[in-house]
Amino acid sequence: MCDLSVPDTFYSIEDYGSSTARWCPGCGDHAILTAVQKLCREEQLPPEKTVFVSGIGCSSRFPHYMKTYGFHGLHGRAFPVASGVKFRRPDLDVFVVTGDGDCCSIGAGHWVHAIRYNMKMVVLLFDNAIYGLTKKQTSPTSHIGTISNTHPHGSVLPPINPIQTTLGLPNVSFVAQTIDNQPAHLYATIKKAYEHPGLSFVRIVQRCPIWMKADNEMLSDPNNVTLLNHENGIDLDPQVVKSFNNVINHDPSNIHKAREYADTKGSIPIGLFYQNKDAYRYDLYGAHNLGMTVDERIDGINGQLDRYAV
Amino acid sequence: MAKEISFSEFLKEGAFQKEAVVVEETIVAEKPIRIVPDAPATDKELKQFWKSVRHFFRTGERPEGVNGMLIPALLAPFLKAGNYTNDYPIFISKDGSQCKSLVNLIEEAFDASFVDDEAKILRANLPRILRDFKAEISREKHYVSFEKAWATAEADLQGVDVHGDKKKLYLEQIEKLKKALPANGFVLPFTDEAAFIMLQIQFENARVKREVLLADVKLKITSIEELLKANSKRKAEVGKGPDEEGLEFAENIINFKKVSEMLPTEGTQGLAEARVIRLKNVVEALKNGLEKWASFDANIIITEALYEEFSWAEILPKANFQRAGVNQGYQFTEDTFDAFIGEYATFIASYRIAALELKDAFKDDVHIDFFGHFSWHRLTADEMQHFPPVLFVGETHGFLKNNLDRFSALLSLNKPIRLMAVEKRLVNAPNPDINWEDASHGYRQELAAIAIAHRSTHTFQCALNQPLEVFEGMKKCLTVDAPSIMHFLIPDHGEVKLTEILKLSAAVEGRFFPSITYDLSAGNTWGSRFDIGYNPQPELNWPKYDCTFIDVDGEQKTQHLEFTYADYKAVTKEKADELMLIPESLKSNDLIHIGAYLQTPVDQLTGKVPFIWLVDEDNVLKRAALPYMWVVSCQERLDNWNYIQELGGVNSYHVKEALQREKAKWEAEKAAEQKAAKAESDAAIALAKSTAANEAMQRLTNVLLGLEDAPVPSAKVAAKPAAPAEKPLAEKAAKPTSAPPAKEKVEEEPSADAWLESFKCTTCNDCTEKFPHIFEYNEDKQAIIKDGQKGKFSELVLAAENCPAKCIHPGAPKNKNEKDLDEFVKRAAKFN
Repeated sequence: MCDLSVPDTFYSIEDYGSSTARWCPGCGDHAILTAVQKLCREEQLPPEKTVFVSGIGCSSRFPHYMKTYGFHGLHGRAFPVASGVKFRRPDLDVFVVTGDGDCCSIGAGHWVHAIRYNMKMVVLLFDNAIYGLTKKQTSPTSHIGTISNTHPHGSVLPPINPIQTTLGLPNVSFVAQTIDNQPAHLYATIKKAYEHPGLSFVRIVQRCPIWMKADNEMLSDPNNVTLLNHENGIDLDPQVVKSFNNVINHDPSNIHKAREYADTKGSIPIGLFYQNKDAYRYDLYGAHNLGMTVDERIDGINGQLDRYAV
Repeated sequence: MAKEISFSEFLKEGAFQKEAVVVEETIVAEKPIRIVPDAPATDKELKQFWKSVRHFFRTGERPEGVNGMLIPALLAPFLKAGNYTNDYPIFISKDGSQCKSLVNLIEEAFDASFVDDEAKILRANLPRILRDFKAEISREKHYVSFEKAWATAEADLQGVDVHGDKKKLYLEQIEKLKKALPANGFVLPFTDEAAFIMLQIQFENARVKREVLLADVKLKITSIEELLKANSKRKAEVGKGPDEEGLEFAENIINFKKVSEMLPTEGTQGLAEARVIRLKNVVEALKNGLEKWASFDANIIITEALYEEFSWAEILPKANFQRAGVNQGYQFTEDTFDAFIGEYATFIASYRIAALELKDAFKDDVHIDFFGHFSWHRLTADEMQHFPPVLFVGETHGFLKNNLDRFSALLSLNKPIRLMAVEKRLVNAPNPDINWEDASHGYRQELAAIAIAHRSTHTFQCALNQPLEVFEGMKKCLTVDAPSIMHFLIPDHGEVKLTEILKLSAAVEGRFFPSITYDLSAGNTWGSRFDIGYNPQPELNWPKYDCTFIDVDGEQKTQHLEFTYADYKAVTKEKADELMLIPESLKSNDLIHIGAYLQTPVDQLTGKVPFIWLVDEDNVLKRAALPYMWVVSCQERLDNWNYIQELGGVNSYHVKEALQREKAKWEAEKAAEQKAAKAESDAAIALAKSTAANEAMQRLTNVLLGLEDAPVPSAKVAAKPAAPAEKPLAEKAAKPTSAPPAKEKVEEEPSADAWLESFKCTTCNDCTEKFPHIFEYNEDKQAIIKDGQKGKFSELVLAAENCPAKCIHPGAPKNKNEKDLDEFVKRAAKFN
């Protein structure tokens, strides 16, 4: 039975698109942009109530291509800005867009505390394992032996594993990983992240077709991906699940197993590693100022101080 | 006389112990049961040690040294002071109708008399009653009369110092409790004589009933005597005419002779001569019987060995004893029975005749013949109840070793004689003359099994740790109208400590002496008569219990342990000494618990050694390895138990087979049904799907094309896969979906047209920016081939190669004249 009910305002994908994305053709960022726009359309998020906060890097060009509110901030400071936005305006949907350099290098300090504060926001880590915008320097997540401008003979330190690191932080509540060439999984992960009450940390393994061409083949080979599947995990159509060759059953409530899988060698594990809906939310604790005007707040503060007036 | 004791004092445990006679050994376990870690052993030590373990397993020779005090782990919690049993002492009422443990009796009486918090003082003093009873038991021999013991206890209770106005209430409460208790009865302690004392009590109970019969006999005697007296008096009176003296003057007028013939005679007809004789005989027989059958309780034939051990005259004062060797005993039993039953039959016959005569229901034509051929076979079950039983008592091995053919012959006679076999040997004492291996491989003869084979023999086997069951079983054995045999496991003669009860219980748990009942009165079918319900967990091979202990890392754990025959053997110190302890540090995965060992198939047993858990006096858990001979005997006991289980209908092979067959049949039917149902529903769904989908598509298209009123075809139209070039409109109308179509596409023939799996597209802009004339985005920002005709084949191939999602399929080239076509066709191969 066909039932065409048309809402008053319907936001289509184009309504969320701003200028044409200037990322290189073949860049994974396009896929993520499309997935996010699809989510906004699916959830019919009002553009004026949606905020995309970013730092610096290829990833952080994101807010420019979304026709919502956005904040393109300083290198490594996406988290503090986003936290401030959420704390002052808890009614807004806050998305944090950051890259492997922005989050895991200069922004590492803020990263730790943002996870701990667990305020409701969706964090998308665009991890292409290289500094792309600045033209090929080694990133904290580059695998050993990456040849770059800073390490012409190959990098020497083992990379940070953002999933493992996040799982080790206190009060962590949602950790997931996905990959740019699986659009169905990418979309489902971002959707689940959006629905989570708390800070959702999503690492998106993406390719850089210009600086990390050597990895293209590896990243697009479906045998190199392991799907973590569970009824409490990412909601995937069973047909999609069948298209994966490696599937592991993993209960997202089991943080120890999650840490084990985060260390998977020789395969990229994608799926929901860990979710805890009951972790403490700092925005619920302190973000109560919604609706108070500045004057009201000043009056309030003065009122408190007046009690100690001599 | 109770000394003054303050309220707070008598709540302390120790207060009562001073006066009570404490006989039991107490092994007070203060520490929790635990495993104590050892210093780790080296590989060499381990190897060396295990060599000696395997040697021990094969031969039973273990390294020198005494094992110390060890008991099976599951028994350890029971060895706290006084915690052996609440079953003994037991109380049996005078008529045998009530039989329960003394503790239960007092508790139930108390609970019936008082509610909730009433009578707090009395409740606190209840242990005094038990203590007084126990003291009385230790003073008296054999058993104690309830009234006497209660009198002492009552005096003791009344002597408790209760202050002021509470005293009156307290004394009233004692009275109330007394009313709830029975007025009289017997109290039995746990001793080696317990089985025989129970016998005596059974006899007393039977005597009470017999006395009712005998009282009735007395009544009948009196009645008949009166009848005879009346008869003899009447006979003297009957036949007299009117008084002729004084009427001689009328002789000429009245013919007195004729008159006297006409006048009615006074009095009744006298009894017939034969009848009188019969009545006289009956009275004679009844009088003799009265004396005889009240004078003794039973005829007991007893073996020499047993006769020496117990003071029978004291235990069973009103029984007639005959000593005999076992072989003679069989003959004596038969003869004694024949003799006494004949006399009894006569007695009962007389009794019946008396009853009939007194009711004036004796019919000459019927009854003379009947009673002329009256034998004991005509006696009813009720009448047989009062016949003092003929009982042959002996030790089990005596019956088994001496002429089993006579044993069998006796039972086959089908006469209601009773056999009582007592088993005292709690452990198979190996015959020192026979090689150890030979002795252990032999099967035990099972007396009960042999008896049951006689089919009409009522059989009851039970151990004395279950006194209530024994008493009830014994009662049935003594009254059943068929040969009966009771087989009891009793403690060895001598100073009997309460730990002996644990041994008896362990014997039952370890399936050494399972409880078996073959009750002829339970029904006509073989299976209904056989019962193994008195055994613990009869559905299992070995009963399972929880053992809570502290592990090496200090955590409390619970093991579910089986209590096997080996555990039972280890209760005896000599047997426990045969085992070899395995220190914690030298354990290995080759050690398996005996329960599991017996269930493992033989081919998986190489190198494995069975063990059981024991605790030492410090409550430390230790593994004890078993020699192979113990395995053999465990298996033998298990075989016997499995045999008995099957007889009792538990784990029955035939039942299981029947169930399997039925299940298989039912499952096959169900599967067939389900298959048929599924096939039906699948077909229906498929039909519904295709029709509905087509309808919906058509409707949607109509609406969007502004053709609302167009007819909707409901005919089945095969849905074509979305070929983008042909139906761009349909594409737009299709619901945006990210679900992929069926996987079948991959197996299809490579399509000649280029095609794209849009759902896989990652929107990377690669193909759309490089070749905008071929590719564009759909509503979901995923690529579609907008025009397959435009663009070169080389471009399609390049796009396919660059696509990160590998979702572009170039197909076959349209233009055969393109440059380097062969190369590109080769490169296209893997994408098609």
